[in-house]
Amino acid sequence: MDCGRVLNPKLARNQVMGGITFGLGMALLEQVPYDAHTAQLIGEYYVPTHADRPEFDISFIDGADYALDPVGVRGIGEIGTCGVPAAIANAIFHATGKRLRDLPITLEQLMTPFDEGA
Amino acid sequence: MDDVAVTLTINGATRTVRTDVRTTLLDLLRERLHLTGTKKGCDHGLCGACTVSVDSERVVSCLTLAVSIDGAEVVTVEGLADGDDLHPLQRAFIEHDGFQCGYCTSGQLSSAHAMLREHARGDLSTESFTSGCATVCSGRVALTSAEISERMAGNICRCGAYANIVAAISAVAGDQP
Repeated sequence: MDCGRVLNPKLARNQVMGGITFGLGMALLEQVPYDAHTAQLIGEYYVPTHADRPEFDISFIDGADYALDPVGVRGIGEIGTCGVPAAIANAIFHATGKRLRDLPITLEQLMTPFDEGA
Repeated sequence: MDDVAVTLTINGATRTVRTDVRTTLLDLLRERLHLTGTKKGCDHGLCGACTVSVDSERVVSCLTLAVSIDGAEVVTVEGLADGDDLHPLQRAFIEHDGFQCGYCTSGQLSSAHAMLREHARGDLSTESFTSGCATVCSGRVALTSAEISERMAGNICRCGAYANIVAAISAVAGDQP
C-alpha cells in the first residue's frame, strides 16, 4: 500500500484488512436480492464474517507525500477495497474462462452455461 | 399484555423487573437496567452484536424473551472485568487491536468468553472435522485460527477487524491449560 507516511502501523494495517474484507464482500456476497416485478425482498444481505476472512499479507511503502499535506500522510480509510473485486473477478476468469462483469459473483452466475468464445 | 415479574441474576446481582411478556432480554438490559454495553445491531439475530451469556451459554439477546429465562444467570460485557481489572480477553483485544469502530466488540467479547468454555468442555465445530478422526473422537481439538473463525462466525464485524479479533482470542486461548 502506498498511503504516504504511516503514522500508526497497527491502525493502518487494521484499516487495510477492513478494506480488503469490504472488497471480498463486494465481489462475492453483498447484494439486496429483490423481485423485479414486486420489488419485494427475496433474500438477505450477506456480509463477510469470521469464516470468510482470508489470510492477509499487507505491507506499506511508507514514503511521505508532502504534495497533499505538510504531515506527509494520505487518507487510508477503505482504500484497501480498491482492486479487490477486480482481482477476484480476474482470478475467476483465469480459473474458469468466464468473464463475469456483475457483482457480486455468485455460484448461480458461475453455473449458468456460457460460450467459451464469448 | 399484562406485566410479568422476571427475576434474573445479572453479572452477579439479582434483579426483579416487571415487564411486558414481549420484552426481549436485550431491551430489558438496555432500556430497563441501563446496561448499555450490550449493543443492538440488527435486532433480528443476524449480527451477533447483542450476544450475552445465559447460564454460561451464549445467546443473541435480541431473540431471547426475558420471561423465557426467568431465574437464569446472565453475564453481559459489563460482567467480564473484575472492577478495574480487565478480563484477559478485553486486554488481548486492546493489545491486538481487535476492533475499529467498536460496535461489535461487546458481542465479540461475550461470544468469545462463552466460546472458550464450549471448547474447553469438548464441543466440536464443522472445522473440527478437518483435523481427522482421532482428534474428533478424543474431543481435544486444538483451537487454531480456522477453528476460532468458524466458532466466532456468528459475530459480524463490518469494519473487518476479524484477523485481529482471532489473534486476540488465540492469545488468550494459548494462555489457558
